[in-house]
Amino acid sequence: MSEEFKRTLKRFFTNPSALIGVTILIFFIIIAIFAPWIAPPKIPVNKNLEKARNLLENYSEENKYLIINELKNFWDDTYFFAEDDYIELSNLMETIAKFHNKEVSSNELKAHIKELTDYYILNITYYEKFDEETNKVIKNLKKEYNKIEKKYKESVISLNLINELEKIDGEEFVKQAIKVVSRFDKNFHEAIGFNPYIMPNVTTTRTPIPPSKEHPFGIVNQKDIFYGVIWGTRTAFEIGLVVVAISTVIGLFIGSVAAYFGGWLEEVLMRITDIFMSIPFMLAAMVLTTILGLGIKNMMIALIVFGWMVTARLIRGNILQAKNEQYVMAAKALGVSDFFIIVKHILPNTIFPVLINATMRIGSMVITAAALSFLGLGAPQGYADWGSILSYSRDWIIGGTNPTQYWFTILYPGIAMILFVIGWNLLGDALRDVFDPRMRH
Amino acid sequence: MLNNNEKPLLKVENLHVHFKTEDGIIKAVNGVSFELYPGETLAIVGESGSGKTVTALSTIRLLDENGWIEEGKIQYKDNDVLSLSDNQLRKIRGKEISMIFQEPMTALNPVFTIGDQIIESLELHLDMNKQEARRKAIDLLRKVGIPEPERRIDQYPHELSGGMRQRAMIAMALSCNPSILIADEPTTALDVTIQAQILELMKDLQKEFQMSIIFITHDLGVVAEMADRAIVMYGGEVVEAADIITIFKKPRHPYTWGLMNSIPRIDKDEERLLSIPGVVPNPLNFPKGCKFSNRCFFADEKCVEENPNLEEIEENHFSRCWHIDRMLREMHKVKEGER
Ligand SMILES: Nc1ncnc2c1ncn2[C@@H]1O[C@H](COP(=O)(O)OP(=O)(O)O)[C@@H](O)[C@H]1O
Ligand SMILES: [Mg+2]
Repeated sequence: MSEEFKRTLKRFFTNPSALIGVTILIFFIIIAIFAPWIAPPKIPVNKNLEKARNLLENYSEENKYLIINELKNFWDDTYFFAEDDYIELSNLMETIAKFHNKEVSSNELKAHIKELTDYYILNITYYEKFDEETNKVIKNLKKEYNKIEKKYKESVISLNLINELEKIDGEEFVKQAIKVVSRFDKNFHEAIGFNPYIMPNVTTTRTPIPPSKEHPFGIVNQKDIFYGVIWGTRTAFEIGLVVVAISTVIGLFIGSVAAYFGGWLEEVLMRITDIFMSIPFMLAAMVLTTILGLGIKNMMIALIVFGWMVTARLIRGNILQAKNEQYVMAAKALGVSDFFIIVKHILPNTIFPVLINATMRIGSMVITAAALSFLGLGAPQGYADWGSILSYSRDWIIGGTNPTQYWFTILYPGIAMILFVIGWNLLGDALRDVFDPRMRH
Repeated sequence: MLNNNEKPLLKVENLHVHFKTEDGIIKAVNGVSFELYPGETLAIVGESGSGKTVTALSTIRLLDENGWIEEGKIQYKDNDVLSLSDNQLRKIRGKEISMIFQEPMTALNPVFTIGDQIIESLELHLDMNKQEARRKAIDLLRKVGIPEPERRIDQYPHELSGGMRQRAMIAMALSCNPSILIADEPTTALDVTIQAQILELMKDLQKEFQMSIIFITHDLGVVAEMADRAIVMYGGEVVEAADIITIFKKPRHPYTWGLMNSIPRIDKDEERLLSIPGVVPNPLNFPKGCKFSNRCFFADEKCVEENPNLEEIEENHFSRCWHIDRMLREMHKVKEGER
């Protein structure tokens, strides 16, 4: 076994396309992992916390209360309303509970909601939509309550932490204070919804700016292309891996259920597969994304919904074929149980083509996602995604004074995408050559 | 060799097997009965499509999904095979009754080493641990005449020649010391010299393991060397059954005679005298009466209309034919001609 394994590894690593593919992919993986260091995001800072941190760096006894003061100011800004909001919403929850028990009429509940919207504790839409979608509004109110409850609890903890700090001095104080500041930092970023995947604007000029020392890939639509390409690597992996993994699992399930159970179930499943296949992939994905609403998640859902059929067909065909192989009959004749026959004898002979197909699809999925982004259906405005950056270049494709003036808007994200696809394809090719048992000769 | 005092190991009675297909229900086996006694070799002979494999597979209920046993009784030792649970059945398969197949190319799983596949069976039935099983597997490979078994055990099927693979298959089938070995055309896919070696090996192993063999073949020539008794099948029915000497010396069914004439004879210049015309018809299109009537030299109206019963024409010799007398006259003429 280990002999064979060594041989397989050797075959893999002497296969030139495997080497190139793996190198490219490792390169991308490194970029994805180290994105925060290669292209550091501009993290917004809270003034109070910033000051507290500066004071901590040159700590002396007299600074202690200044620091605590800054932390208290931060606490006030962030959590001043937390307790009140929490109490108000708790009351509302009680009213809702009574409403469920029919002790309170829907008009009374509505009036209670109105009260809260008047104080700007709740968004006015809760009141406006109440009659139309009572259940949905109540569900969302509960979510709102949970959010505020969490915030309130954090506010209590935070206040405690500050009070604890007041009691200690010297090095111990510095140590604890640093911990508290970084905890508050995190809370702050959560509160303002900071997201490093959103490319920041780096200029006010609208026309693309060619590469410079500071922005090595140039600037398009006020965004730094370098930042977008680096962080877009993560997006590419996320889209490719998640979409292909989930759609492959779905395909495997449907295909193997069809093959294993046969009969009318197989008929129904395979006709459904046919129907999904008959719809042009891009069109279907476009329509579904439009229906679900824009955004990376919804685009991925659309790609999954229309991306499982090839796997289903492949695995079904392979299982049907393997089922008729004599070695399956021979295993049965030896008294091996059905479960082991599927797991040990059929799957290893059928799974390889599926895995190879999946590997190759990871690359092409990213192209598809880019196409959707290019059409404005994928990633939201400013999201670090190769397709989105390319879509910005659409406006500059005919150039200014000459057609190639804005070459950098296409070249860098384009190269990244092509390399990514090639990497996966080479890897898939190599896997087919090396691991497919039927190719072993 | 036939010993009626002993209890049969396996007894098949009035077996009917059907398959459901798009074109209709195929009646692949129609009322086959036979007995297999300890230590003997029973040959099932017939052209391709006559129902030999289906009959054999039925004895361990190993039919394809679209097939079922419509009627009949199968008794192995004291077990009523048709009423066994799946679990009980799996304990019989491979351990009590095991099988080797026609295509040594495809009957071994390409993903596993031959050792893996033998060990799988040992672990399953004999509760051996990995090491014991491996030692035993090497032993078995040596017994079936595979050179350097310590090395071969870790090889994949594609690294072995056809003959070696069939030997590995036999080792796998014999791993748990079965009392019955079903060999379904075990040498058909091999060339003649290898074929002879494998047959020799099977005969040796039969003595050593003291097992009964059901030997399936379309080649009567092989049967003469291997079997004690033979049943001849056509169209899913037994058309003739007798001990091997009787079958060869006194065939009493035109089909058996035809099969025999298909054997090329070294001592005669003119070969394939009187061999059977045509091919086995599609099972959905068999004649209403005697299934063989549309290919039979002696058939008349009666044969087309009515299927004869399998009659015991002399002790332990059965035949299903209306016109044995006509056939005898013809055989006589041929003999005269030979002189
Ligand atoms: N799974 C199946 N579905 C339909 N028909 C089958 C199936 N298996 C065997 N048969 C039919 O049963 C008949 C007997 O087949 P078989 O026992 O394999 O013949 P033999 O082994 O004598 O060549 C053939 O006509 C064959 O077409
Ligand atoms: Mg057969």
